[in-house]
Amino acid sequence: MRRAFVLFGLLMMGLVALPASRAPAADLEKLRVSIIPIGDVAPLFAAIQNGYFRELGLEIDTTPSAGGAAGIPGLIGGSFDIVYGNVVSALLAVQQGLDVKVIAAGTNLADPAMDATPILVRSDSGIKSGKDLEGKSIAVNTRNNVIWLYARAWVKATGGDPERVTFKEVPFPQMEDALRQQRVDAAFMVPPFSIVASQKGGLTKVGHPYSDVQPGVDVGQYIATGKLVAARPETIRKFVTGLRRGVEWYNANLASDELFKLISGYTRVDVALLKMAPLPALPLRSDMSQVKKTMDLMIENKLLPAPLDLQKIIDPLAL
Amino acid sequence: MSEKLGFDHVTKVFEGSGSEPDYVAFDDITLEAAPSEFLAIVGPSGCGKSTLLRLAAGLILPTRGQVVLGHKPIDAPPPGVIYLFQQYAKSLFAWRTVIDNVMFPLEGAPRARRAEQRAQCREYLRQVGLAGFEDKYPWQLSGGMQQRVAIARALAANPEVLLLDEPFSAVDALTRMELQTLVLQLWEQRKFTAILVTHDVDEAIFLADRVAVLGARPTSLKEIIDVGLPRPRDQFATREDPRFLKLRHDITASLLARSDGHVASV
Amino acid sequence: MTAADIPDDASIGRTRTGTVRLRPGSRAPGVLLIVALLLLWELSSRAGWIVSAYWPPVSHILAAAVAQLAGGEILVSLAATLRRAAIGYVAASVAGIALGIVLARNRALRCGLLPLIEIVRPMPTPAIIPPLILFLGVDDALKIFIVALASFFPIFTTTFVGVASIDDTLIQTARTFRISSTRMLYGVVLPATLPAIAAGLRTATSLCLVVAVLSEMIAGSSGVGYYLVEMQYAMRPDLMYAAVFYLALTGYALNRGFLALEARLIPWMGKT
Repeated sequence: MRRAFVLFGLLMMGLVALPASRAPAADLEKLRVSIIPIGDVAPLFAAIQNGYFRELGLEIDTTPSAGGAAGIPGLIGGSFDIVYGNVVSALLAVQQGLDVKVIAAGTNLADPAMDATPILVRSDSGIKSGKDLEGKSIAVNTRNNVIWLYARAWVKATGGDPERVTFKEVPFPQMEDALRQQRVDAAFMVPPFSIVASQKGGLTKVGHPYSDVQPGVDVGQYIATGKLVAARPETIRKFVTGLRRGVEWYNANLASDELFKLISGYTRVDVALLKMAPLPALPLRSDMSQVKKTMDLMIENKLLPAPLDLQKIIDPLAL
Repeated sequence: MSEKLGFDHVTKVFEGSGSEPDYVAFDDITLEAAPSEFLAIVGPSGCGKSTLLRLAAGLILPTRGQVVLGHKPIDAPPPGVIYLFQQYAKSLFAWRTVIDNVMFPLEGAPRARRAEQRAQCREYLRQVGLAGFEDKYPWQLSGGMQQRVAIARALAANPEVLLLDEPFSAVDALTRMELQTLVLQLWEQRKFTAILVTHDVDEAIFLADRVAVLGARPTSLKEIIDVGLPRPRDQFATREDPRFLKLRHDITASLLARSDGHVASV
Repeated sequence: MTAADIPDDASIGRTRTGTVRLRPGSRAPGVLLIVALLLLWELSSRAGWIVSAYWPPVSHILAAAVAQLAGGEILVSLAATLRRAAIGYVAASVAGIALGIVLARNRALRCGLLPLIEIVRPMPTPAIIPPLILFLGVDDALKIFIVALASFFPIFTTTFVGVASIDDTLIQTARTFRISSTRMLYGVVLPATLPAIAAGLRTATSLCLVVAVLSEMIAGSSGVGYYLVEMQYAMRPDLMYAAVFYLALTGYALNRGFLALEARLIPWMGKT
């Protein structure tokens, strides 16, 4: 009886003592980056894998956050140095008085043919535009975020009134089921879900909100706190330099097996599935005019009360 | 070893909570058990008999007057005063074996004496007829056996005064007789002062030297009756003695009498 | 005095907490039902009654489970989750038992602390995560805190109620033996409350695992919770469900282990 108790205690203590972290590499400056495991952050992983950061004296520790909900709170709380997020989250954070800055561009969607984030409807629904969606519903992952904003903008751009469309919150993985089971009439989906859904038949793409509404939109952004940018400017500069080398490698290897293997490695999505959709080229620099367009859309949709000073939000490093 | 225990003009009032009125358990009771005496206290249910014993054990304090052990007023549980509860199952430690329950009062003593004490406790268990049950748990025993464990534990505490709070009322009639005989034997060997509270008149006469009769609420002491039956007592001879029947008549009549002295028809 | 006086307690099948222990043999219908439901699942997926990326045939899940175990991946995830669950659980146990006993026995502390505890108790954990991230970050401190917070309440409550409902006779008995207050606590109050504490600890055992998984879904890169989200976003429902299966198995094993330990260490459970 006593032995069982002691064993139980030892087991507990063993679990408690289990090491939580790996041994750190010597003499490298560490940066912790919160990422969303999607194709957009492939340049970051390419730069890590190819040793670009190491050559610059940086060690990058990536922490995935599915959906990215913990990103900005973790950044402000000091858990992360850099967060891969979207332009809308960044501007909303600034509006709330949080000290965040965009330090590097993440995406730039210019060509609808390369845009893997479509609005899908049931093929037999007859829906072709935002006008047709009036009185119907469209699935977005979260309200008042970037997906919601561009879904509304697309409805408006295709002749509909966003106020007369119901935006239903459905997590990305459940969107296809919700659409097929007629719980929603349309869904704004992202890869790999959009790829799988359009492969199976019965669903039709009626538009690509990002590239239709605002060709060249900067959706993804690498964000840091202004405090960190001011305190460790050299470190941030090295990060951006390493990342740009990653982007260059990525853009030069868009159709290569190596890139698909890299993405599959951190997203855990099958290579075969990844290959079903083309990978868009990614930008080296942020485009201030694109961010301004997004900001104007946010004001129009009441996400922002007034314009923000973008010169202060987008660090010169990003340009 | 024994000591006298006396109630000196004791009044106990329980404060009512909220809108309830205060409750006078009993008023101005004076009563003393002499050293090595077996005193029984009988009274109708709800007259506060158990409260008297709790005062004697120092578990509660009187509102007025004092309870005196030897020559010292009691203001906390005093050494040598041991309480035997009616609910034996609730007074035994379920997580301890029979022998460890009996050992409980001795465990404050130095460890060096532990083996000797253990042997002593085995002897107490033998005396109450529980040899061979040392390593059982209380909940594995019958009700009568559990009360025997409680008795053995009381013996281990080396009582000067043993307070018996209706200790046999929750067991069957035959077991009750066995336990009465057992307690009498132990009392005659150990010569502690015993104060028994019961509503069973026969039990009071069979065991006690004197029987104190309490009236209904507000409770006061009605009378004290000397038993005077020869010892050692016997479940057959004593109970068949004509004096036993006379005492039973008198005490029962006293219990049934109204406060104006009128005897209710039986 | 014979052995015949000992009541036959073989008939006792009900514990104090009211859970009914199953007799062997009575389980067959339950197992059959599970098998039937799994067959229905397999059939509905293969025959195309349910078309969804998240409704793979059971056989695919089994295959994934085998691969997962062979690769050792699930064990690494489970170890990370169990580690967080264990630390939070131990912290919650210490705090819950200590506070439960102290508050039940000390009126002043009870008046001071009980309102705070009662206010925190109904707070839904997801609602307080953003401020928690601010103070605790997104790593182990946050996850372990969430586990500890969730596990604390059942342990605290059963301890508190357990101490408060100790029969007065027991305490009075101990008092007449003039024991010290330390002995009263360790020798009487604690063992008398152990069955109640054990009931709370057992509830918390299942809870701490579930909450650890939930906390790992917020952020981070290890543990079953993260693995589940990762596989959901990677469109690998077979691996996801296989991980859920191992999680359920772990929870079941923990509960069984706890019951066995309880029977060994607290034989008087339900006997007073």
